[in-house]
Amino acid sequence: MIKLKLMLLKNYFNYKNSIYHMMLCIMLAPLVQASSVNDSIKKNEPKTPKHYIKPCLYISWYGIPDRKIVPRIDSLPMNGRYYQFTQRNIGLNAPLYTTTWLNSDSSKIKSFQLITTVNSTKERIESSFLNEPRVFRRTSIALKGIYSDGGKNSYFFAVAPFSSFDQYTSARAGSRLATVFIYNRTVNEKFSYRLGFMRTFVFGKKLALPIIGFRYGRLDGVNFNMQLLRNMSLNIPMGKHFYYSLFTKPIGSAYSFKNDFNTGFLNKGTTVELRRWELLTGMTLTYRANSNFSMFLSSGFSRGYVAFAESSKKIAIRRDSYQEYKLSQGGFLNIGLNFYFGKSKQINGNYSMYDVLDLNSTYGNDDNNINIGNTQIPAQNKAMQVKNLQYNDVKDLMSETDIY
Amino acid sequence: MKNSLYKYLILPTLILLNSFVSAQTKADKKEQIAAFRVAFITKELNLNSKEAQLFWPVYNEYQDKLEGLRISRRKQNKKLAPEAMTDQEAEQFIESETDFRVNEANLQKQYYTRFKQSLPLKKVALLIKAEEDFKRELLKQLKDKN
Repeated sequence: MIKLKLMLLKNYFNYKNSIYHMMLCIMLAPLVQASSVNDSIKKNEPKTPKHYIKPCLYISWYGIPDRKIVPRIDSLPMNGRYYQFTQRNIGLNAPLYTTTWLNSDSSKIKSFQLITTVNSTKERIESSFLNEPRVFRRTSIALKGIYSDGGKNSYFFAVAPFSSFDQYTSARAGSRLATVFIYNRTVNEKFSYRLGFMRTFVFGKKLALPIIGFRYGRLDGVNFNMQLLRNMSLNIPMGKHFYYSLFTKPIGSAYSFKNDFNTGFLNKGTTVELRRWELLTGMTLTYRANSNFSMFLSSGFSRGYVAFAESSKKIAIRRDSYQEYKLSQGGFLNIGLNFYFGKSKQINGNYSMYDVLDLNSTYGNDDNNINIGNTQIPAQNKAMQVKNLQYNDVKDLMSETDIY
Repeated sequence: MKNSLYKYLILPTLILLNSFVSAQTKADKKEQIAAFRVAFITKELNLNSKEAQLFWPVYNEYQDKLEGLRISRRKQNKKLAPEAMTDQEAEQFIESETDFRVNEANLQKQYYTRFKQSLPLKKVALLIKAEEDFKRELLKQLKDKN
């Protein structure tokens, strides 16, 4: 016990030291930078931003309160059937490599972007069919590629392997691979369509599904976006800072873990396959404070199912061996913060690139249908006026002949 | 330990959050001007959907490069006080200023050649005028504000 306490204390001080070092580095950074400024004139090579997509750190929380569950066919003996689910999520979406080149007559800029998303999710399931709440940690590293021909066509792919761990037993609760491939055609700024396929676990089990979708309306204005079978939304910007969406989309996943049920239906010590799936219908209000920060609040109703079965390495699990429970309809709450860093290439008026950004934010951020939103798409300027314009904002443009 | 961990995490998070939320950054102003430029030029040039799709990516790249030149010039000039310059520094300063103007003109020439690939000649000519008018419009707004 004393040994354990000493170990914890040691870890605590290590943790304290690392925070201290981190803060020291942040404080000293400007000094180091200042000392590097040479006294003599050194030519500054012009630097332009490398990527179209800004790195984004996103944090979100999703939860449903106690829900009644109803067995679909058979029932397990249990008192008071209920189910509760919460999910905490943190992830980083960052461009790794961007290259652009011109077509033969120099009229189009083609581009290829390689993007990664590292995502960590903590999912907590509490239900009458478990003898204690179960916590799963899920980590994924997705690799996404987007090619745009600079005109109407873009191609998107995402490969997102993820693995889940059961926190109580520290046992691996399954490694899985989700993939998406989409062809997008931007017919004009108001209309685009998409065709593709995905290998996903978002419906609680491994499925290979087609993607058929279209968008009507400008991405920087009011638009209706339907990406079957992934999401459907009506998006309405309200001024420069607020964005309102009505949506419907599925969320879910599949897990395996060591059984410690007390129901008597499944053998203790065996591996259990657990599936959960919800269809959310609701609204999202996004507040875009500035180009570096946005937050959202999403709420509405969800319904779905949860199912489990005993698995064996030798025998494939038959569908009818699953115990399935319907989730009664109830409310959900989802809140999140997005932090954007650095500079990106200008994309104003570039509707093909707006679609590329939409592809990046909609698909491939983990397999859990997490959408980081289209905050990076510039708001339409209807006012034909720049607020709080200062001399410094226009001094580069000025010459004395502009005055008279 | 858990409490201490939260204590150490919450404060930096709040500071970070505050700086992210409250900052009316230069980037925002730049974005606002860029959006206004798009609206202004679209109106002046009366671009159709096909022309816009080809024109804006190339024009944005042109603006990025122009801005790169201007930023490096600003950085360069920040370090200098012409009154306290040595002859060698003055020589370098003159050279870098003339280089800037030459580079700006070269860039303009290079990109206007490209615009001719995606827009009719008359619209490219209109673009030159629209850019000048846009500059004047910004100056007018600045003057009205003051």
